[in-house]
Amino acid sequence: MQMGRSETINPDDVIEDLLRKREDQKKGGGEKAVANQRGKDKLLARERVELLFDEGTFCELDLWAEPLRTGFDDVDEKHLPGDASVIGYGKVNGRPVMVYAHDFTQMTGTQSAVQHSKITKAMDMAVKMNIPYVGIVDSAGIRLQDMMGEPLTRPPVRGHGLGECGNFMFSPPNASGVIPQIALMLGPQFAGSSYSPIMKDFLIMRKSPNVFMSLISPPVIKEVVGEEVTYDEIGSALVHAEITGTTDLVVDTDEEGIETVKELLSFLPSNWKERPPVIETDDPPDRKDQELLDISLKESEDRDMHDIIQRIVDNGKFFETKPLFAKNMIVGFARFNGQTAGIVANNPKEKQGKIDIDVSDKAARFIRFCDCFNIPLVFLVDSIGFVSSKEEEKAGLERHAAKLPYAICESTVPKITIYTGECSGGAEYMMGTESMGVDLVLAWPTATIGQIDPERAVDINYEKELREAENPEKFREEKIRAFKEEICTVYHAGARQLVNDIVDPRSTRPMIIQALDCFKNKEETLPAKKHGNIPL
Amino acid sequence: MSSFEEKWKEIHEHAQKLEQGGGAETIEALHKEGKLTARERIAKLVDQNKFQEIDLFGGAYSTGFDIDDSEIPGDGVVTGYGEVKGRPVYIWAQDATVLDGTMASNHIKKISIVMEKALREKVPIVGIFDSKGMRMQDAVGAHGHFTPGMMMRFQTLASGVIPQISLVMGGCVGMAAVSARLADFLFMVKGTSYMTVADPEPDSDEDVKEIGKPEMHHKHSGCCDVMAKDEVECLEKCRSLLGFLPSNNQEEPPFVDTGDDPQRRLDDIMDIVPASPNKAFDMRKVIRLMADNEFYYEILGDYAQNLTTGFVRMEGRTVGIIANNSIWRMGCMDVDSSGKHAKFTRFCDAFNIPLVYLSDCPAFFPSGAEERKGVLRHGCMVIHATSEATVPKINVIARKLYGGACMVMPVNFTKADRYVAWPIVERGVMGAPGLARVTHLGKMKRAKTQEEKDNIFKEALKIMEERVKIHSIATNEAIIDPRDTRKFLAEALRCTQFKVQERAARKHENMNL
Repeated sequence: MQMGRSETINPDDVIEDLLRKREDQKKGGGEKAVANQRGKDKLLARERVELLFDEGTFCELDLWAEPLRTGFDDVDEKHLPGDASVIGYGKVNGRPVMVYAHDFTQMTGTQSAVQHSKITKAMDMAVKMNIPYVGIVDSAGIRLQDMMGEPLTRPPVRGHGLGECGNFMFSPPNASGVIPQIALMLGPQFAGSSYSPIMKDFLIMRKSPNVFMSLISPPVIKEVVGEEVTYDEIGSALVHAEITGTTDLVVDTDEEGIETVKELLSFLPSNWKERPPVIETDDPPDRKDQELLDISLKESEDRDMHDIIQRIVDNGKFFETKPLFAKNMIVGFARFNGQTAGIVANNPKEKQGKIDIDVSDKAARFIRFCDCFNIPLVFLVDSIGFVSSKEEEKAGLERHAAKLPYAICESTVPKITIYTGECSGGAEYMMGTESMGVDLVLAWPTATIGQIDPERAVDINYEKELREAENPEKFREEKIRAFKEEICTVYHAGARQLVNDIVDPRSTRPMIIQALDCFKNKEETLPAKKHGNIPL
Repeated sequence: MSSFEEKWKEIHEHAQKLEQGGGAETIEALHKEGKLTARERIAKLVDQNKFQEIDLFGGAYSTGFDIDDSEIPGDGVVTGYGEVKGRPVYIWAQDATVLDGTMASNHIKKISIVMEKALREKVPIVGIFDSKGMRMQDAVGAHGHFTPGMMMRFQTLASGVIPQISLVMGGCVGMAAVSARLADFLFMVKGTSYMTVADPEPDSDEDVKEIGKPEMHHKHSGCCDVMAKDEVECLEKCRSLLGFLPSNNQEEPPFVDTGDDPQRRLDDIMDIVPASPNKAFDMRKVIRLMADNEFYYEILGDYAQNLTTGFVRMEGRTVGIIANNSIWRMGCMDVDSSGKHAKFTRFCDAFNIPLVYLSDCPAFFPSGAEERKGVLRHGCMVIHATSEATVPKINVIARKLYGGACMVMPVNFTKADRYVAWPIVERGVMGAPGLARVTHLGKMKRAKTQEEKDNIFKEALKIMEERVKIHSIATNEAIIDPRDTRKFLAEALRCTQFKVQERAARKHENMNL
């Protein structure tokens, strides 16, 4: 029989049939929907995926999947090849990465049981393979007919009770700290399903009228509480970048978004056991920067910490995250002699680099990410401590501020703190001291490290003398001057082992590179625990 | 008299003098304020005569200033160990009679020492704050290691290993406030305690005591877990809380024979819970009813009242309760309740305390202000914490569970071990009218007349009402008689007590903060 079969079927036909069927499956939601997508200046799901991966490396999975029947005819009649999603694996700059992408051309990328099972598969496989994954989001939320129809009253697909399988809400926390997770939002995301992209380590949003994300949509807010708000006020990329601090970066086009993802991936290891990749640069490791000396002589309020960062990192390239949120603190990635490091820096140019709730949340999360993925940390300090505000206290400053020292004390990666300007009012403990586990504390000679206000200190310490002095005013002034000269200096700080060395600002870069090189085998074990209980 | 006795007498007298702290006058002043001394507090916290002080002798390090001439007993802090309800606990307490309890080098070193011991010996630690801040004379020359940084380092290392409790019973300012909040639970006393991170602006009329008062921290900032009406109540409540907790993360919570029948039927429950979905009721009444001996230890009671968290015992075993409460915002989740939920969940998970949920949540609270405060980011903390928790998670859906709420009150999405409902349950993405509108948008648009449109909607509504009904019931593992809730929970907790859930190895997670 088999012999007979191969005689009647042409092998070329089999392959041709396969290819034709495959092409059909890739057509998505049809010509009209595709044209609509292009009209919004958006790429198609597969175009985005192809752009992300090195040419010809993308392997798609579950292209053939179709949604379950819902019991609603108008949905069941539709042909949804792949159920409005594309998942698979490939290589980004030669390194393996998993991907999932919503296909907006099919029923506006709405999420169903089968689509969730595909997306969850991408996340869970990434954990198993120990490689990062990227989620490209473009979906109008839950497919109501699917949610309210039969699929969810059937045994859940890849749901609970199936061993290691998770679902789209369970898998991101399960992967957190094991592999880097990145979400790229190039379309809308509604309601509860927005949580899935936000739970990733990094979220990149496109600035566009078609991209927004809010938990409750403006019409519902109006209907329930009568409040008039627009999408731009509560859900646009800019709102999430500047006000809510939900998104890490904002991009202008699909292409830029994908380029940004690739650049971000280049800084990161594939998983928590690996070290970040070293990328050779032509910037000499022993390069000294003349300008830094001049900068160090400026008053704090006249400096932008970005200038200092750019002068010490490889080729001046700094990948800043959350640049528009809590600008008094700068965080981001850079390279020192090709080696990735996370930079956490006060910016005295904004709010005098003061510490507040948003600053703590932003920096603590960044530090914890770096610690998860073996990325050493460099702290640049120039801050006069906490904001003094009743509103901040009322909003829970203690609770939020405590996250930052927690994150520093918990981290076991190499850590370097450099005092570049002022440091007072508790700022030292928010930026790491040796007693908190920082490995190297350096200071520029012009820095001041004192938790004490000289005037107050003199009033208290010389209380008796002040009372007895012939000319108390003169005595006080003299003491304050002496206090400033002797006590509020880095040399006094050195004597007290608050700093390990006082260095020429020009050699900051070589010092960091030398230290990171020598500390790279650092190992530190924390007491065994399920997890800590960071203040939230 | 032998020389042994002589020596003992000499030392004993010296110790007694040191134990007087700043002396009779300062003690009297403290009592007048309604405050106890550090040692009186410790005596009330531990079982009778069960406190061993350490590092009493020594005093402050010299500073080079006039202050060196004065006596500074114990450098303003009492440290040691004792027993609470027969179980060991480390304690340190700042002594306000000694230079206002100001923090100096040896003071901080003494605290760090007991923190390290507690961590190494895997015993809970209670810190009593009563200080006006850093001691200026000492701070000028203090060594880098005798700083709050050291305390915070130990607190962080110990986090999730041993329970840590801060009792703020006086002043707590600056970095001390940050350190106090690093503990798992923070208590404050009405009228006598205050806590702020930053100094108020020099020109402002605001007083630190006013800004940082317990009422503010308990109701608005969410920094004060338990507010006591006086010092005695504060210490009593701390003892009570310790009774619920295991000594460390490798131990099961202590068992206490409560004698309450696990089969007890909750006949009064029908009077508490209104069947109408839009009527509010106080969920805490339900919790008390079902708990052993009707005892509920609430955490953060006055903060984010739309969610109540706390401890009860079921068949003598500690259980963490997380329940929506319709008395505020109809039980909707929001930014504040998210933080409260996530922190409590993570504590229970770290210390092997099973979680019981009582759900009655219509949604996340719809408001522009909440969105701009970052409700998405905060909601993620809860989902993260709930997914991550590997202790038994048992959810009783009392009334409503709509939309995103089913991620934070766990069902299958975030892997609850049991999720059952009372017969009045309502579940789904949204109500039937909303579903009818959204799913038939196209058809309604294409309708030629208003009548036709209305008919389409009416038809759709009928279908959707039917679907919601099926969905509400069929998405639960079982429907139980509310009066049997206690019986159900007791059996479910017994059945899940050996639960093990492995997670992929990692240093730690990177949750939204």
